[in-house]
Amino acid sequence: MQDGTPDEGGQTSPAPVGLEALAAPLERALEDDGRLADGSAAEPTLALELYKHLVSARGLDLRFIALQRSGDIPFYTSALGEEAATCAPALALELGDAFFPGPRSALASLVRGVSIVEVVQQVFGTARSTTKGRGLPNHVSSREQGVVSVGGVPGGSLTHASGWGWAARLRNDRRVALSVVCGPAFITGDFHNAVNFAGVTRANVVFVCSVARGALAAQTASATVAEKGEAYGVPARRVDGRDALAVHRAVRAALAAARDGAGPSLIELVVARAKPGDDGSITLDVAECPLLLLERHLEQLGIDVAPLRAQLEADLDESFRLAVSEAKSSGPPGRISLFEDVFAEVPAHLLSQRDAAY
Amino acid sequence: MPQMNLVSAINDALKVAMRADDRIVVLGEDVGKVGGVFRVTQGLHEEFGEDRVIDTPLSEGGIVGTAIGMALYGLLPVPEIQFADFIFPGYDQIVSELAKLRYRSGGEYPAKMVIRTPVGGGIRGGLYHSQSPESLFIHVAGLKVVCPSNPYDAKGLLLASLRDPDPVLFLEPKRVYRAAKGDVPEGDYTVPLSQAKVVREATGARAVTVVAWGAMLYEALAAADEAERQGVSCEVIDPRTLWPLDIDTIVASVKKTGRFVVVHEAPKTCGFGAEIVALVNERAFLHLEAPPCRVTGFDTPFPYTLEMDYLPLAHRILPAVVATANY
Repeated sequence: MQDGTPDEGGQTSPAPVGLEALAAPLERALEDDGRLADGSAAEPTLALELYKHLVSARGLDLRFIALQRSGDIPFYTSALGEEAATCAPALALELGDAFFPGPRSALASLVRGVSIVEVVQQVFGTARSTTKGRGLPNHVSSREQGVVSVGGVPGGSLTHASGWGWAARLRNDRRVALSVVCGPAFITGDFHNAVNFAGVTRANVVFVCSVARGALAAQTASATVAEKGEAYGVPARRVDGRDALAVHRAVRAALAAARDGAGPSLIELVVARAKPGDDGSITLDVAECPLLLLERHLEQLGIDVAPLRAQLEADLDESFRLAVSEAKSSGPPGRISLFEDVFAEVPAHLLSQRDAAY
Repeated sequence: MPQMNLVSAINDALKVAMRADDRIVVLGEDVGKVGGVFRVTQGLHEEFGEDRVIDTPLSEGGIVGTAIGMALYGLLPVPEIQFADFIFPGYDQIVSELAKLRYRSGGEYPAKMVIRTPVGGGIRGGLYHSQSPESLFIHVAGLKVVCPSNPYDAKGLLLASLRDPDPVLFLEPKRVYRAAKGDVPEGDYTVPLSQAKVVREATGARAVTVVAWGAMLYEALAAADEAERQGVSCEVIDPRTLWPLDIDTIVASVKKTGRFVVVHEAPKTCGFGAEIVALVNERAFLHLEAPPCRVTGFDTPFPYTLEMDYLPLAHRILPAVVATANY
């Protein structure tokens, strides 16, 4: 499957190899013990907000994977271990901005306000889902929340983000397009087109690409993805993808720059991608896990994390249980809907196929 | 009423549309100051400026992909692909994204654009400047495909395509870009999509329906003139919009003549003619007095030196028409 293989195996990403190991250190906001790395001011409200989204994304991924294993859904693309890389950028968006996620980063749509109920309806492909049972699991779409429809081609939406940001630039519009993709989208022809066009047109666009640590050498002989951005004249940064605060700050600055007419930028996030073991759980240490790192930071800020996480998990459990129950009782779309939305109006040849079959 | 050729009629349509709708932007390789390799966009850059008539990097995937983003933003992009032969680097974006966006988003994210591109042979363009890939796009659900044969239709169909809510691939028969001339009204008018035109009516008892579009329409008409001299009357139909096709006009004609020939430049196998034959068979089988016949390009790459031997010109259409009439 083009989106990636189903999760299995209980593995985490290997250590950097080859050229990747020689690249400059990643930008960080937090030390491993949770203290601020660079003496910057704490942002406790932001840290708490990030934490809630990360817990939700992790919890939903694990629950959907369980549903895939039980056969309730056929397919699922998770971003376990990449929660900071997907959610922290989305939280930096402003109203009116356009969010272009990929299949693995689709749960970041919750950060934009898409409800758990809607995501579950879309994953189950029900009659009630906005996507009318057409998008694959995690191919989220929500115009109301500014989340642009996710397709199944890795990197397929990168040029759309460029074009959206280019249009904004042409119209002297301060709004920005944010593209967040995981995995090897950065090696596709669409990545080249998107970043090259953005560089040439000075589009209002920010590209966020997460790369699993140690996985670069199999995809490219470059030491980093960031240098590919630089090659197109697009300023690029490399940030520790498990450090939600660093990710958020980098994306926030890039969006602000684009808003002010400074043009596009690229942010490479290095992450530890995790896959659940046979029991459905994952094990990540603090060197890999965005949640653990953020928990340590919250503790440094004097927040009692254990009861907070227990409450968030309990709330999520309840919301998810109800959402799945609703989705299972919603049923599939009517088969007549097969023929709708191919075109704005159902044309004669489709009416004829529809009427002959049903 | 001014006389125009295909190039000036399309150029005029773009000007009329862009004056009325500031969402429209034209983009592509050398479409700006140069005015396009065939000069179809000449003068637009001067009138509408560089923010609406935009030279892009040379990459069809980038042109189509960013145009999708522009459409999602709310603009109405009109990308030009310099030759239809060059469209394939953008094919994935057209097939996997553009054609599917409305459907996969449950109708929330249509991406409206009109992709203009010259098609067809006869200009000594060889393998990479001559192809007619219409069936590769008709086969993809979600795209409309238009191919005008004359200046009046070209302007009216382009204006209609721009106002239609769906993505349209607008194929321009480059062999007759300057050869096809005719009266074209000034200002605004449309030729409705999905309405075929009976260009020449059959009058005699021994009659054949001939469907052809683009540059091949003129070959079909030339063959019809000669067939008339041989006692065979042709009803020549120009579909104008290839998809969704006005099959009713074709079937009504076949029911009248009982005989059917379809002509196209593209290779025969799985060409659009095959689909039209199937549609006619499904609807008018018992009216047929002869097997439907296809006169087409061959199942070869488009040649360079031998292009006139490849194209289904009048001298190949005529015997097919006569044989169908005499069957």
